[in-house]
Amino acid sequence: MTSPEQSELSPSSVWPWVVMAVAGLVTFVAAMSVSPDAVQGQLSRIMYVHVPAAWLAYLAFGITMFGSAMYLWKKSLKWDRLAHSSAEIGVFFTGLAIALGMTWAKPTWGVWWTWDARLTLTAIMFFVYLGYLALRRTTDNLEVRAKRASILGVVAIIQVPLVHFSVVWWRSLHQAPTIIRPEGPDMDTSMVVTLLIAVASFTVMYVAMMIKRMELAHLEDEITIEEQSHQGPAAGDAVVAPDLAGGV
Amino acid sequence: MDPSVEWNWVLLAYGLTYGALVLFTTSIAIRITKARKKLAGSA
Amino acid sequence: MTGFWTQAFTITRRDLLRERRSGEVLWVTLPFGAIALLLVPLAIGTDTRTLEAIGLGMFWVIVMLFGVLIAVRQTNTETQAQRDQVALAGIDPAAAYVGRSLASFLLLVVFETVLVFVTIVLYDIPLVGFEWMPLVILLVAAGLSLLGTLAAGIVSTGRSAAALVPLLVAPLSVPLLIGATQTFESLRYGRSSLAWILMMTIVTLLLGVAGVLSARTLQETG
Repeated sequence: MTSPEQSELSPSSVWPWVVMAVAGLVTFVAAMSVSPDAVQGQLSRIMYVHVPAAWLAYLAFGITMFGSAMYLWKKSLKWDRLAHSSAEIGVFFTGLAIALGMTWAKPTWGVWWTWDARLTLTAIMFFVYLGYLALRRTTDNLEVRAKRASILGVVAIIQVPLVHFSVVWWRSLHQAPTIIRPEGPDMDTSMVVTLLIAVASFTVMYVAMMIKRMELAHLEDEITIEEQSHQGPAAGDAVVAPDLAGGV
Repeated sequence: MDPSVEWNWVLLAYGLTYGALVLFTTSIAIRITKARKKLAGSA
Repeated sequence: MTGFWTQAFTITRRDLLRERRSGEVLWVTLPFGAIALLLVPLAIGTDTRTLEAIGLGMFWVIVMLFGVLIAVRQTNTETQAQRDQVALAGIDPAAAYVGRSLASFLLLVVFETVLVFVTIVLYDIPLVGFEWMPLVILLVAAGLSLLGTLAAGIVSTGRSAAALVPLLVAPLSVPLLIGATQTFESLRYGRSSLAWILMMTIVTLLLGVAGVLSARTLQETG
């Protein structure tokens, strides 16, 4: 087992918060200044937050898989922190994307939910990664936790294409509801540009959030190490956490 | 659909987005502050 | 130590012996699944045509949700000391994984077979394409046991382990659920169901590979 690296904690930086605020503001201004879609009207403005949120959900889970795979290879806790942070942010944006999709679907199609393949897949992913976050809470041993989570992080993403495939196929068998998707090729150029701006600023926001979330993950790991060095066996030991069977 | 009704939905969506973003980032900030305090106290 | 399969079968025998003593699957999980099938019509009404339409789907949902409980048995019963003993005995973790999955597979086949008769009786479902039922039962049992054992291995003996495994398994079992239900749906409309069978086979194989590959890494975690 590798020992958890005790790297120096840098002082908390403020700039990621500023970046987040600016990115949020840029999206808002761009989305509000573009002219509305001819068919969808003002409702088309929901797209500029819904699509970036959905994109970040997928990006975040991709990064979780990357971090998990890197941990299994390098066994360094910093990759586990990357995977963990990205999973939490991913769950957040998945939930947001679903909620926004609903507020868009209700006035457009008259229903909160359609059994559209992508929507179903996103909902399933939400639960997969909720399970991932729950798994991380089952033990205090950093190495054990990282290893279990990384295996799930990799296995989960292998399953996602299969889930996707099966759901798409399942939809094609039934009569798919005719959906007017505004992000078709006939979308106005100004709308495409606005959407790109929104996606880009949300991505910048994600990076800034990741920096802060990873700082938090690092602090939490340090606290765990600190606590265990007080009650555990001698320092430098394999730091086996008391696996409080039965829960506390 | 009446544009004012459409605006209500847009308002709901953006309120949801920015409300959730503020809550989530604040939660990270609070957890960081707490963790730093805890580390400083135990060191 | 002895060969891979000898080790695997030893674990399977141990698990089945334990089941014979405790009767957990046969006398607890199985009746639980059967009563779930009985509860559904009580809640949604006993219109014959409705029941006929939803019967098979309900059967598969209950197999997925309750079948997990069969794969999760070991998390409840196995203590860390027992796991350590298996590891110290020099049992290949991959063989232990295969052995555990095999035991769960056999129990799941029994579970599904009994419940499918309960479903036929209670819901009066048309037996269209039921010559495929044995194969689908085997595929679902294989996929679900491999997935459940893998999830149980990942969660191991942590806090709230027994509650967590179903949450991990349920979303990942979607391809199996869709494959099983759509096999009969396509047969009902006179279409070929080979594609669905193939999909379930691929899912099962991938799960098996993932489980075997991760077994050794997981055992290191204790």
